[in-house]
Amino acid sequence: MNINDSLLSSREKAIFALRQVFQQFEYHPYPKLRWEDYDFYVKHKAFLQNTPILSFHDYDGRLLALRPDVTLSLVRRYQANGLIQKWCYEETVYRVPEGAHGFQEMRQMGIECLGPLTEKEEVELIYMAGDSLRVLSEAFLLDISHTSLLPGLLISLRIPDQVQALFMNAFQKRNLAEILSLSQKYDLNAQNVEIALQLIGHYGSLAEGLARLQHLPANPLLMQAIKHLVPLAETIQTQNPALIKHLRLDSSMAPNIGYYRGLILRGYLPNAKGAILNGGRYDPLLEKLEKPDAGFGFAMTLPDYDEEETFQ
Amino acid sequence: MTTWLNIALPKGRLGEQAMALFVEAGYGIPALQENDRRLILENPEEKIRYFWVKPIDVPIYVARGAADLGIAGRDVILEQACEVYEMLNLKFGMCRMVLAAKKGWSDQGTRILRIATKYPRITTKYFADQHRQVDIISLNGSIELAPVVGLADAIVDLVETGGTLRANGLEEIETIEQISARLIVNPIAFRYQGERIQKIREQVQEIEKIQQKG
Repeated sequence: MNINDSLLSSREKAIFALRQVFQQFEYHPYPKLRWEDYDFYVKHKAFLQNTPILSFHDYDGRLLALRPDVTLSLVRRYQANGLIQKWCYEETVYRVPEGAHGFQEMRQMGIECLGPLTEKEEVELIYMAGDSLRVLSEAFLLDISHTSLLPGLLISLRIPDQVQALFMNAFQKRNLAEILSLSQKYDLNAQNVEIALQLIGHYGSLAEGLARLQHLPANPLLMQAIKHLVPLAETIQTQNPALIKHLRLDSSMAPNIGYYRGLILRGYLPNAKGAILNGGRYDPLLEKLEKPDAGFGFAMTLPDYDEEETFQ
Repeated sequence: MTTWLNIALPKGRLGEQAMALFVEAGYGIPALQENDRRLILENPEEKIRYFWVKPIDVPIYVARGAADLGIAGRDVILEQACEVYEMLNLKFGMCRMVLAAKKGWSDQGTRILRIATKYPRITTKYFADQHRQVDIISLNGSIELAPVVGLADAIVDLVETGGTLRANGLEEIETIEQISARLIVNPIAFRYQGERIQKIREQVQEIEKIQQKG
């Protein structure tokens, strides 16, 4: 069947382009999911960052929920077979976005890679995230971080335990005024605070960010992040130099360490409302669901398109 | 080609002080007149556009990307809880958000407190952190009146000198937050117009420091 391109809306073209990227990396479509038990999401509310869950009763009285997330459902159904399993999906999720006054239906496309993963698959994940964003806009940006980075940065600053949460919050919100004021109040080393402010206040290249990190006093968590990200950046620089200019180090990224461990990603497009790609390595999620192996993936929420374009 | 940078300013004294700071930093408006009633002002040379909006709405304009930058009081930033980056303390519009009640009143901790405020979110969080249940009464003005006429046990409101509290027989019980004007930035603008925003931030900070010394 030949389809005339002019019949496709921008959204539909984006969906087809993303399917093509997923296929190029040999990801297979996951069968359509149905709803889940409400209890399942309640048990893993922390993974969902405490997002409200839209529930309903089935005719037999069971309390079910409309899916707020796809990863949980896929990992729940994961059957290890000693091989790497690569899945892609297109699903509708129901969430209350930041600042909204009710649930919204969101179309998500994404991938999950599960199994005995190696560094090769992790690098491939970044390439794939880059290619997926590129089909939507050449001006994409991909922020990279590590779950140990922000906690390690806070240790480097020798922040007293009782105010760790205050600092963590200020870093996540890039609240430079608050970081400076708290640093003075708790008499932190001015030179280290200046490096931290540079990391948070500037949005330079991945190499610049990694170089700044190395000026901070070392500690095991910070070194774990540096030792993971530096070789990764070098590999990308060698293998995929066209991608490197789109990569940034985001030292403010909030690690949901109960469920994620290792690399974390966020993708941006100009004029989008926020990050349109979110992902990372979630081995602790597999542990919680009593599954072997490792896993990572990303989900993309397509940006708003002018629906009037449809069928023009 | 440089794109326009949109800045949301709060109507009123805070916005006027912020505008004066931008003018001093070299981002003024050509042919700006006294009592200019235009809601959108442009500097075509620098490609900067200012909007005058209701103070409480500034974080919404910025978070939703209608404005790339904004000037907002820390009180409205906390109350709106939008996703914006708070990148500079401008150190004007300084005051405190306090819990206040009628002189001599004491909280016995035996019943649900009735708290009148214009800031329900901040008030809820403040009492939730203390594991206290409260009945929040949202008002839009004359908050100090609420304990006097028996509408509330206490209030959460902004205080500059404490004169209005004293004039109405109230006293401050606790400071909840130090408030001042902040420069806020949209997360996408931070990524795509970072260098320009950085330059403006540094210039404004420089002027603010000179003014503080003066």
